[in-house]
Amino acid sequence: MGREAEERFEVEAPGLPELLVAFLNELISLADTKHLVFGDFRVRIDENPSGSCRLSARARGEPFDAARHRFTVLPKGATYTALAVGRQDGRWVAQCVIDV
Amino acid sequence: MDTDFREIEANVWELPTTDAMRVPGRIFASRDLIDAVDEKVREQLRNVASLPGIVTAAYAMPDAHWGYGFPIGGVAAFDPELGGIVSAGGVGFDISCGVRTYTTQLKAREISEKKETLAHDLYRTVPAGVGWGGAVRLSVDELDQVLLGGARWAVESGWGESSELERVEEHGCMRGADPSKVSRRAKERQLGELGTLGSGNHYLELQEVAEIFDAKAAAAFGLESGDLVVTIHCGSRGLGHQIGTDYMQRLLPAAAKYGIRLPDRELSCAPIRSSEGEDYLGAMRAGINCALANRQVIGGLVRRVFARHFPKAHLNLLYDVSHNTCKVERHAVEGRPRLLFVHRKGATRAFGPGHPDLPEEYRTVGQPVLIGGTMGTSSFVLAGTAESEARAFSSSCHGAGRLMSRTQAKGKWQGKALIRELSERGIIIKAHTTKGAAEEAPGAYKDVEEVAAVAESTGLSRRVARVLPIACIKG
Repeated sequence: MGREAEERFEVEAPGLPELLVAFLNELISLADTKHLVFGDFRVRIDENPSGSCRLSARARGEPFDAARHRFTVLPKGATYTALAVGRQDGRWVAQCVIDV
Repeated sequence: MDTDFREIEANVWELPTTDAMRVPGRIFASRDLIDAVDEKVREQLRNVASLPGIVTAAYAMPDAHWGYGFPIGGVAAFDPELGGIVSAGGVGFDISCGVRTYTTQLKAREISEKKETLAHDLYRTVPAGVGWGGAVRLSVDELDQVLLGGARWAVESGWGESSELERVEEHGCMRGADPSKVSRRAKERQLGELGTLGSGNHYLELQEVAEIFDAKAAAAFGLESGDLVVTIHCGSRGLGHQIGTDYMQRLLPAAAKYGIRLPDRELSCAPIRSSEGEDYLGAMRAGINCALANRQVIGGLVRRVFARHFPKAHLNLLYDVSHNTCKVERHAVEGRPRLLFVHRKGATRAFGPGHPDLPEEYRTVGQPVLIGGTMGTSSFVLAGTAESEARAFSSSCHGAGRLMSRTQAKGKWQGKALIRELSERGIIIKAHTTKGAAEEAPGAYKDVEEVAAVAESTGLSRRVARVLPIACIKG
């Protein structure tokens, strides 16, 4: 995966699970509008005492190339179905169903 | 078997009103279909039945399966006079995803020698699969005209004939669309996408009319046994997806603001009579017009391909139906006409004979209802019935309905083997990825024969013709 394309963005949400949905939806629409494929991410999450969260992201990737990027489906959007973000056995686990 | 469902008459099952439910749930299914219904469908019907202003019942069509918020195959009508809501989740991400079918004035046997060439040219000409680049490139201002005009815009731009518009729901143009309520991001996702099939379960299929059930309706629809027909299944592409995403988030705080308790966030909604609800309706109607224009443009591309190979063919639009919508319709409830906001998510509007919105030539037989099967099984043309209004606000099923997830399907079938097997049966599959074909394996869906038979036996619609696949271009 190349790194010649870079996008930086911020999203906010009332909680961590919603932040995951907002992050994924931002990636889906950036990929769709700018015709990019991402493969390298750096994110910083700040939680404030009220529980709301802000995510700052840098996503790197390359222009979409149908010959090399053999996806079977295009994601439409991230959903709230079975959404979960939490710690299990000392590791972070994030779960989100994507509509395709 | 789900013991919560009680069979109140043959193939009609009711989920009684309990707890927060305002109305019962009702599903149209044979015993086999109800046995296969996902547990989540019951939960989702209960949730929908608890939303403010819902009228009569929360319905699930014979092809129902687990969706986001609403079940796929879900129908629910809301009355603004009773504080009724409009739900972004009740319409879904692929706004106005739908099906259109063309008759061709050709018999299937007439293309048998050239079907590979024809399928290949359709595959080359109609953009499909994952990628970007449609038949039409638009500026944001031009896109606004698409969002206002729908299929009418496409016809005025040279993509078809004005006589076709009567055979598209809403006469080809959804009124009340408001492009100013559609985000710039949503519009940017669509600028190069008009005239594309997309991916997933979307397809373009050459089909042969294999059986006629209702000769009078078939004659009205221009169908005879052995005819070649062309069917297109796709939706509002990136624009619709982004409208769904935007308003799913925007309506969540709106629901809280108006004191609406949401049992599932995917039911994100606002009162019909609220600024948030009106904004969503304006954007969602723009999404419907996007889908209508998209299918109209693809129809134009298909015509160009036929003109190259079969100059004597004439593609006549049989009808264009939308699956994921919320529409304002007048329905009789307990003998009184009421103006209702009917959500259909993975369900087809099915107006019966005599409905004033139908083109004159279909007025005596009812609205065509186009049921997509799978690339290896039958699809059906049905017609709306007089009793469908009382059954489920003039609604019917939309397809076979998924039986297993895409991941399960990929684990069970191999794309290349599946394509070879279908080829041995004479069905050409043109797929951009073999994995994508495996996800759409016929066995991953319910038995469409049974779904169509139940739709008929319960009066939702009646079978007119069965069509069989000849070649399928998979998105």
